[in-house]
Amino acid sequence: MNLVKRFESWEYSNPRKTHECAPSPIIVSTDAAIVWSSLALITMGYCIHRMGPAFKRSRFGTPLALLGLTCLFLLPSGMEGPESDLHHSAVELIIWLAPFVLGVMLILRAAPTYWKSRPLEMALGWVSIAISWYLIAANFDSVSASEAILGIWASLGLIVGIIAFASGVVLAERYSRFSSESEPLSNEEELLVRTIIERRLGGETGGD
Amino acid sequence: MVTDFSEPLVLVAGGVLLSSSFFVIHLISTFNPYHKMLVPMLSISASGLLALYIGLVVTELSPILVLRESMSAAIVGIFSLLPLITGVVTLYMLRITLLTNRSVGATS
Repeated sequence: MNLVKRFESWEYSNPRKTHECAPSPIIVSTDAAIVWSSLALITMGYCIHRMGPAFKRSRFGTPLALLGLTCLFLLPSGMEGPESDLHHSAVELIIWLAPFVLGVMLILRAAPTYWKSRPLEMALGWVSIAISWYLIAANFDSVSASEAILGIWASLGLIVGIIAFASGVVLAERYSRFSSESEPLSNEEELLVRTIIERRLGGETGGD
Repeated sequence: MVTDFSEPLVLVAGGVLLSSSFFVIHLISTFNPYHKMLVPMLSISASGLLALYIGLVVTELSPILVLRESMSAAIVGIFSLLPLITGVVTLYMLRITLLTNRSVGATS
């Protein structure tokens, strides 16, 4: 069914006895509110986590994102409306994405690029990735292929949004004025900078 | 034969709305005194409102329903594209496993 027609069918999917009881389109069900709030929490947690250790609030990023994930998968029950598809595909996604992410982490830890090679971890990582590919293949059908084509259009929209944001950032940076001169370094900061430079230039020996 | 562009238009609008809402949350949650957030906020709000308008014209539904439905459809579409990205990542993992056979020190 065409997506737009499906949207129209959602609007009238819950017939009421009288027109007086018909819900206002502004009202969102509890489950739908949980889904959107969870997605907002996950996004917020990710963004706060990416701020880095210079910001104290970054320590709350991971717990916030995990809270959002937990709410998204555990709280909604008997969903209706457009969010039911979203919730269903999120559950299907996490089933194969979790072993895949685990496998990638194991392989990266076990790869000899930066650390010592660990064949057992590497093998476990590949087993995990193989399991996730098996799950992808088991759930793949013609519907998935048509949804992937729809995904290309959605990605195009995502790219347009990213371009709008990037152009806003470029404009903000280009036309920003010089605000004020930085304060000179304090004695402790000077000592810290000197120590770091001395270490980097080889003034300190004995480290490995 | 008449080509129906309503479905792709709604999905593109959903994608724009999705990225706009992501960046709005990003700008608010990462706020700090050195953040120049006014112009990016205006640009993403404008693109989001334009996408919402396109969705309203195409579907003729209420704004809340357009938001919910187009963003849901966009997320589902993007989720279904993830196996392709997974394939690319798997190839990289294969490369890391097979081609890297020497340790790389911090100074090399």
